[in-house]
Formats: sequence, structure tokens, C-alpha cells
Amino acid sequence: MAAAESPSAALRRRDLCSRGIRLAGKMRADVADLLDAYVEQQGLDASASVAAVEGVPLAAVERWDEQTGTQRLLENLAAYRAFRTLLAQMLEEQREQLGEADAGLGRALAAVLLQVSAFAYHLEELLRLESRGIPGEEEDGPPPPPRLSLFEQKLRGLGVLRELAQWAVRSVRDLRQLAKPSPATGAAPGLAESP
Amino acid sequence: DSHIQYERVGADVTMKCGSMDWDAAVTWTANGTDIDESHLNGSYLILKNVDLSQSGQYSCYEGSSWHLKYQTTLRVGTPPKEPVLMCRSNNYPKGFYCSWHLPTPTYIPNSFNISVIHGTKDMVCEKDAVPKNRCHIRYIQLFSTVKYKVTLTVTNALGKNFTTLTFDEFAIVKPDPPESVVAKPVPNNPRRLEVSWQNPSSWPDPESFPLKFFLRYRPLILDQWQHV
Repeated sequence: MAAAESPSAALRRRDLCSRGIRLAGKMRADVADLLDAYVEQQGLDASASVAAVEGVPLAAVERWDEQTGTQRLLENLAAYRAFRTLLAQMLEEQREQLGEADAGLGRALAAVLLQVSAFAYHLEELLRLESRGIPGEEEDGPPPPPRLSLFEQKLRGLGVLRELAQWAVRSVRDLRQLAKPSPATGAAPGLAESP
Repeated sequence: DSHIQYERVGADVTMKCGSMDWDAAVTWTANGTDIDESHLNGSYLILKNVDLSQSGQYSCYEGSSWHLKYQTTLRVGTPPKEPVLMCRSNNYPKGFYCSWHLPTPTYIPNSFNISVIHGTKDMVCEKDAVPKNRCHIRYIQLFSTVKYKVTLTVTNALGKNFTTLTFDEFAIVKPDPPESVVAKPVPNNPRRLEVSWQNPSSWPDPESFPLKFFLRYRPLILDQWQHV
């Protein structure tokens, strides 16, 4: 049963959602620029098809409009936590590959990594607001990936950034859904426990 | 017996009068008008380098009895050229539609077959009653990085042709124009106009997927546009 929200909680959620939307919007734009720079810097073909990369959360979702608010937050959080790890790996590989040679790309990667971390934190705030337990992160994290060739690393990076770009678009849409007031109770739809 | 015969523009067509021998005496008519003997080779009717105007009903009668021995409808046309295909989502995130046409007419009936593949999955494109040559698909997944591949094949009695489109989910999004666009004068302010409009009614969820609008205007006496 959906309980009516206190007005202050509703305001806080709306505020968090608007800020989250702006964060995600900026992230989307920066990821798009990063993707262009990455493709050019790594000498890749922008239209290359990359097979689904293991460990990269897919943004593709069925019945997106039927998801509850909690589902949206949890799926987003899991995704951005994964991207935090993946981008950190890419940054590491970047530094190994090029050292100082392309500080620009490294800086852009680091900037996006920062935004991904900030957004993950923002999602935790939203979950806290719903008095939802925040799923813990694995202590040791996933096992380190097998050593890939340089070319494989580049393709993997392409797959990561492409999927992140889709997620950034999806997150804006997810937060807009979350921000919609429900007509009956005034609470956002789907955030209450399911009966 | 009566049937339909399809031939290419420019082809040479030989019609036999059913099972009659080559040397039988026959009369051919085209749409009821007798055909001159110069077009005959024995009882065969020879039409050289046929054009569209020669489409019609051809009948063959036995010489003296005037029994109808053979009848056919000749349809002169061309095999299809590569069709023109476009796909668009004006109701994102619900789905998209594809529509097609032939760049030049074939003058004979054509059938169209469309296939839509998303990754490895086959999707069904439901044909619209109106307009024809259009079908629509509902999105099963959203935010997918996997491309869609649409192949349209057009076939008629004289040949076939096809075209393929490959695109991302976002690349084909194009909303319909705004509706109820109204410009009203502002009372007591002749240098101002109040412009109002609505979201296109085909756009299902403007809250989650808001649209941006751009307005330009100019007095009729000037050529330059101004932008808001």
C-alpha cells in the first residue's frame, strides 16, 4: 500500500530528481564528446559493431515504461557502479599505453569517471530517501580482467563508452519518470513497496 | 482459356492461338479491334518492341467459325527499380514506422515484403491499412545499442529488387510538427505577437521525453528571419 509522503520528502525527491536530471544531462553530453575523441584517438571506425562486452551493463531494457521507481534506481545504481570500475580500468590502460602522449583523452576520461561516481552517489541519496537499503558493493570487486591485446582493449573501451552513452540518456528518462507525481497519493508512482 | 501475360517494355512478344496449328487460319483482335495480318506469322501474333499502349485483351478466333480459341490479357510493364525506403519514429518511445515507394512506376502489380531484424531477433512490422506501403513496429527494447536492419523486397512478374536500411534506435526519432500554432496580436502593443502551440498529439510522453521548439518570424516586407 502506498503511504502518502510528507510534503518535505516530496519536495526533497523532486529536488534530487531535478539535480539528478541535470547531472545526467551533462554526463550525457560529456560522454558523447568523449566517445568522439576516443574513436578518433584510438583510430577506430565509428560504425564498427562491437559484440556485447562481458561485464558492461547493457542499457537495453524491455517494458521500460512499466518499471517501478525502485527498480529504476537500483538498475541505474548497479550500472554506474560497474562503469566506475570499468572507466578506472580504462584510465589505467590509457596511462600505460600512452603515458603523457595524450593527456587530453586521459583528462576527459577522468572527468567522466568523476561524473559517474557523483551520479552513483546521487542515486544512493535518492534510494536513501525511499528508506530503501542501499545494496552493498562487493568488497573485493570483480576479478581483474584477463590481459587483453591493445586492439582488444580499444574495442572494449568503445563498447564501454557506447553503453555508457545509452545509459546517460536512459538515466535522464528514468529520473523524469521518478519525478512524475502520482495523481492519487501525491507520491511518485512505484516508489512504495509493492503489495 | 483466359489468363494474364506480363511482358517487359521493349520486348518482342509471340502469342500462339492456343492449340491451333501454325498454318491455321485465324483472326486476332486487340481490345475488340481486328489486328492487321502484317503482324501475323502463320497463326502466331508477333508484337515487336512492345510499349505500354499495347496492354490490353488479345483474342484469337478460328477463321471461318469465329470460335474463340484463345484469350489473354497482356500487361506491359517493367521490373521494379530499387525501392525507396524510410523509417521514422514520430511516437518515441512507443515504436517506429517504415514507409516505401518505387521511384518509377512498373505499370503492373507489385508485392512488397519487409523484414526487420534487431540483432538476431526477427521483428514483425504490422502493415497499416492506410496508407498502404507502410508498416509499424512496437519497440520491445529501449536504449539498445544494437542496430536495426530493415530490408524491403519488391517483386512483380518481371523481376525483383530490394533495399536495406540500418540504423540506431535514436537515429530515426523525428517528432511530428507542433499543432495548433496560433499567432495573435497583443492588445495595445502593435509591435508584439503572442504565439502559442501544442505538442504534436502523436508524441506520447512529452514529460519524460520533452520536445524543444524553435521559432522564427519575419514581417512580410523583409526577407530576413529573426529567431526567438
